[in-house]
Amino acid sequence: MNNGLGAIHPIQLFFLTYMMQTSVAIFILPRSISEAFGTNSWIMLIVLSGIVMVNIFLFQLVYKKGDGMSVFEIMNVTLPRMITFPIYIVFAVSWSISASLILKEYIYIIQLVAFPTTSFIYLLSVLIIVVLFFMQYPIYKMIRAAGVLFGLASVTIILTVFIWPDFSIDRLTPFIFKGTNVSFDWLTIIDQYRPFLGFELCLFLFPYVTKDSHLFRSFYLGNAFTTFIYVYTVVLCLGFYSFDQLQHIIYPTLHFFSFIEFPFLIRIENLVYSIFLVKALVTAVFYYWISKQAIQQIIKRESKFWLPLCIIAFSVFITYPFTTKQELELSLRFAGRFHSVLIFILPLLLLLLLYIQKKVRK
Amino acid sequence: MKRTNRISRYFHVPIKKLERSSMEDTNDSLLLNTINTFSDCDDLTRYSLKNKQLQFLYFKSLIDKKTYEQEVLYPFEALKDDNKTVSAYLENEQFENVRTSEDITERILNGYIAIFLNQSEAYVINAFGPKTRSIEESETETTIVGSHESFIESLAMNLSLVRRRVRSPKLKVVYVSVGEISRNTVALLYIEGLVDMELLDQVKQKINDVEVDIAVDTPVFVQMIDDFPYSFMPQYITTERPDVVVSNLANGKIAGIMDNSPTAFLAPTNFFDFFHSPDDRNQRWAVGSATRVLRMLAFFITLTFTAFYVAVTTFHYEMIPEALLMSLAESRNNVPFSPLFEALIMEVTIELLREAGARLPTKIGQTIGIVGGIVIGQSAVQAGLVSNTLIIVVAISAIASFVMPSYMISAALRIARFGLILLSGLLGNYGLLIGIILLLAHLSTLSNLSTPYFNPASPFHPKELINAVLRVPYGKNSRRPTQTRTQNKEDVKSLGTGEYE
Amino acid sequence: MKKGLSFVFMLLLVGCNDKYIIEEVGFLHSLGLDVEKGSDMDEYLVTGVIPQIAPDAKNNRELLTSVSSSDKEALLDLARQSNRDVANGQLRNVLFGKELAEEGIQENIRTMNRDPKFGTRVQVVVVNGQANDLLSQPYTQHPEASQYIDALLEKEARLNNIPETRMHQFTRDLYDDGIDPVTPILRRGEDTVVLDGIALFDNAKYVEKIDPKSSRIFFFLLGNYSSGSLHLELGKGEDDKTIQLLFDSIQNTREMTITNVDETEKMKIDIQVSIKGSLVEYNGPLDITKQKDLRTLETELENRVENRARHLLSVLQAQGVDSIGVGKRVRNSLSYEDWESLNWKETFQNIEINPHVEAEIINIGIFS
Repeated sequence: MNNGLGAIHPIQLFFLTYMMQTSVAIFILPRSISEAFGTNSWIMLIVLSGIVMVNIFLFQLVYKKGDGMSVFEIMNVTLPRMITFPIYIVFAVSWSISASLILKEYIYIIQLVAFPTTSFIYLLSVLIIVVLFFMQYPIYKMIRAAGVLFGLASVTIILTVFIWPDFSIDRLTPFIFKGTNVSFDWLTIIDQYRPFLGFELCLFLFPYVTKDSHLFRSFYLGNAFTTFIYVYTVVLCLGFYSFDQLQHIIYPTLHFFSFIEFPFLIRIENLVYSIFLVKALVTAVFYYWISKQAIQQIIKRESKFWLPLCIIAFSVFITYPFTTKQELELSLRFAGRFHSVLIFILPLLLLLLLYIQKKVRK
Repeated sequence: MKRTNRISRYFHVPIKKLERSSMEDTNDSLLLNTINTFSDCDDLTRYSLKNKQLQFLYFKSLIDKKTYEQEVLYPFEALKDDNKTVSAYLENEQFENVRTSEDITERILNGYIAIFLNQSEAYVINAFGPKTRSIEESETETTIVGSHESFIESLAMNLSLVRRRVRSPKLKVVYVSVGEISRNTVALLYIEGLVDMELLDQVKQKINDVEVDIAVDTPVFVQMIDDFPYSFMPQYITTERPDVVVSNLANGKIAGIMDNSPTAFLAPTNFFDFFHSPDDRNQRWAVGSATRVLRMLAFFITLTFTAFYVAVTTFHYEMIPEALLMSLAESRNNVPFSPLFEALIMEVTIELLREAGARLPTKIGQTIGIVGGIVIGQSAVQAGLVSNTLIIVVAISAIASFVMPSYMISAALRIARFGLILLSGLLGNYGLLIGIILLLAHLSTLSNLSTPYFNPASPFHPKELINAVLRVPYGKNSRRPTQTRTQNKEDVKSLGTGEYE
Repeated sequence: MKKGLSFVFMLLLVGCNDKYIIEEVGFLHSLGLDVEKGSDMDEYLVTGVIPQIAPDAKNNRELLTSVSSSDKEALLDLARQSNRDVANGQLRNVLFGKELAEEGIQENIRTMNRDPKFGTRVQVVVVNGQANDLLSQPYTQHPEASQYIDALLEKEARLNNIPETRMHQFTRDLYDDGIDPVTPILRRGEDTVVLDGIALFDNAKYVEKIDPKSSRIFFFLLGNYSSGSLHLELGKGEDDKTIQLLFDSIQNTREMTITNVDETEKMKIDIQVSIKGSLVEYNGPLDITKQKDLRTLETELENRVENRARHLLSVLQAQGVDSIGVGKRVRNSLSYEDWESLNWKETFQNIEINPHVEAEIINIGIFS
């Protein structure tokens, strides 16, 4: 079934990785990373990307040792339900909350920029309809749609070309990691790991890929591409804004699009934030999909509409109190921290389980 | 499966072997039985000769008068009035002995003449030849350069148009029949060695699964065999042009031609096929590529231009450059409606005009153009009902929609446009993007004969995508598209001679 | 399931409230900010210009003024005077009166940056005089003052007579520790708006302006630019006529070399400027068709430009404003700690900065 309808192509996985990793976080990335690490903080992105590669390598080990068994299978085989069910619930809650926070962050931005008085719930429910629409598809179709939406998202990358004339390498300064008040510790690094999150999806794709899909190669390449885009964005912002100015701008990546002017169109940022919907959407959809998979391990019933709806409703309900910028940022930070640690520990745990399985079998 | 055995049941093709029903009619009732089946068919002609020794049954409307006179009427009249001579004459090869009344009925319906000898023995002779129109130029798919032939309502003629272009025994024609009552024949054309047999089986299977009384025409029929009956997108490309059929056969596709329909369908189809016209291939590559790019541009304009206008004038006034802003605001100044409502009014008006123009004879159609263009356009602006900028916007998107070579896709996109306009009017750019995302998601998840509909774009085949959006010079264009799943990927130069292995 | 989705879809039809239907919005085109004279408290005199779209209105703009204690409050006050929603998404120019600019405009710039509707392409301009005065004049030769100003600034920026200081550039340089922001400065002429040179800012405070005649020289020192022209007077000729020289289509490059970076007192900066262009006008005694005389003229040109550049630099140094971004260069050749401990403003005033000019006349036109 190389050409078959359900086949997942490597290039689709590549697009998917990029779409999963970049979400609305890229709007604040240049500022947040500069606040955390100071001047020329883009170097840190490469280091972080290296950690991601290690993380994906751990997933690959799980895949190899487990002969392509899915995460849930590995756990179901060794652990009793008493232990697995709480773990699955943690999965479902963690990913669905992350998804809903991403959606809420996006809505927060468009409310700020364009719809200040429109009801938050209204804008969110519109988005949820789209998420539900996507979740009606089987996974391979979702992946294919994500690949096509990459085409839409890449428009914004092309638009940045018009910023180049106002880029000056002088503003990058030769100083490395200077001019920051934030202390350099583990929590800072974990917080900055958040923009890279999304690649953990590959852990849940094991049962759906074939050898021809080159799952891990696609994810390594996808992560490399994401890193490239991140570095490019941060360097562009550092050369476009002065360092102190950058720290005052809430959404630097969105802000610089307002400087682009075409004879027929100005203030491109109004289009750009709409286009970024694509990224927020894809990330959220797949996160919800992961939590749906986890829940399905418990209730073992296929439901295309009600289960996703319940998960979404639940996550929106949980995150309902977080509406202001500070609340959202804080909740995102904590969700991100939990998430980052979880996806690092998870493959180690799975490897341990596989090791035990092997021993028992002998 | 019950319909596969009807494949051979066909009129103007020599029928090699007839499956006979086990029970044979008693000879006496053969004529009566047949006549009974055709009771109340007043157009059936019954003609007796030689003191009712010989009786002919046929439909005057289905047979060729000349054949009838030369092969049947005159020879029998000249024969001696003697059973033996007549029987001997009926032993000639053009006559076929038929035993059951069902067979006779079917033959008569297919334009045969049934000859009853003494009411008990029946012979049939093929005299099919109703009047057909002559080959003309296609009105829906015109080209400037290249062939001007198009299919007509006769399958034989249509097959001849294709066979003339592909002189190879590798061009296969398989008959499948559809329609419980109408019993239409669909000829599936493919080139052996290029086509993927699995796809061919799928087409056959789908056609066999169709449960319909009368398959009226190809455009109706293809909607019964597509994968997504609820989608608004056209899923099989249909064409009236033999040259389009042939060039797609060469790519490993399957063509289906139904009798009494001038339209052929091609399978598997992808989205980008709808944007191709034979003119692109007939022109030099640079011109062809430019035209295809223009069509893609037209595609975006058709879909989004009016919607974007609505979004910008309703929500994002800051996006309009200063020079445009003043004229836009001034033209909108006296309009009593919101941009959304204004745009919907104008779009509906354009659709009304288009539909009126399509239904009316050409001569009156021109008047509609004048009435629509001058009276409505000019006066609506003067009366302050709509802004003149909007008229320009709507007109441009309407013209862009007519750039599509396929009327099907242009109509589908115009429907999608209304959705986008509505979303833009409610949520601005945010709504517009939601619409576009839903549309893209829908397109990328459709499939045609279980091959992806959005093929070179998703799954992503960069080289093919370039080939679909541009028209690459012929030397470079030497691979067949992956969608057809052909085993023989390299393009063959000597297609006409059939030596391609 | 399908029913559920379609039901929720109906919710969509509610629509949202944040509509800015184009003809119902009065888009501020220019905004003038002044300090209100005579009052003991610090009050803003805010002038807003909104282009008129009603075809039968007598005036083709709406001029709204308001006096209040903050510029935001003034905007609200302006809105009360108009029949349309006053919105600033299409704002092109912000004009600061000289007095206000001297007091410092940091707060205003900050507020404007905070507003997402504002955009980063708003021109920041200083008015030599009162912004209100400049905007409210009925210029008889131009239909509309703010568009006139807009076009004037755009053209001059293209010719490199004034820097392009949109909100983005102004904010960027304001927050950069190696450069001080500049803006164009305008004044009112006889029924016209006149470009009055370049306003120099120390942080966000206006301190000095550069004469428009020297503004092209300013660009020689600022960086690499092309287009624009330079007019020079080369002393008196034989019959007591001033010798005129017009150097056109100039392309200039700048290079900066810093010596003795580590010692603050001995730091020396050489600015290497090379200019290329065509000689459009010359009425002196030299025969410019001859190669030798042309070389002499080039040297003459170099000396003149160098002198004026030196004068310009002395003005900058006297005011302690590093508008040409020497600091950026110094910063990039220092270590972070050294740069942080350096008081750049003071250092800039005291160090030696030498311009060196190299001129090249590419052509003298098509008639000799």
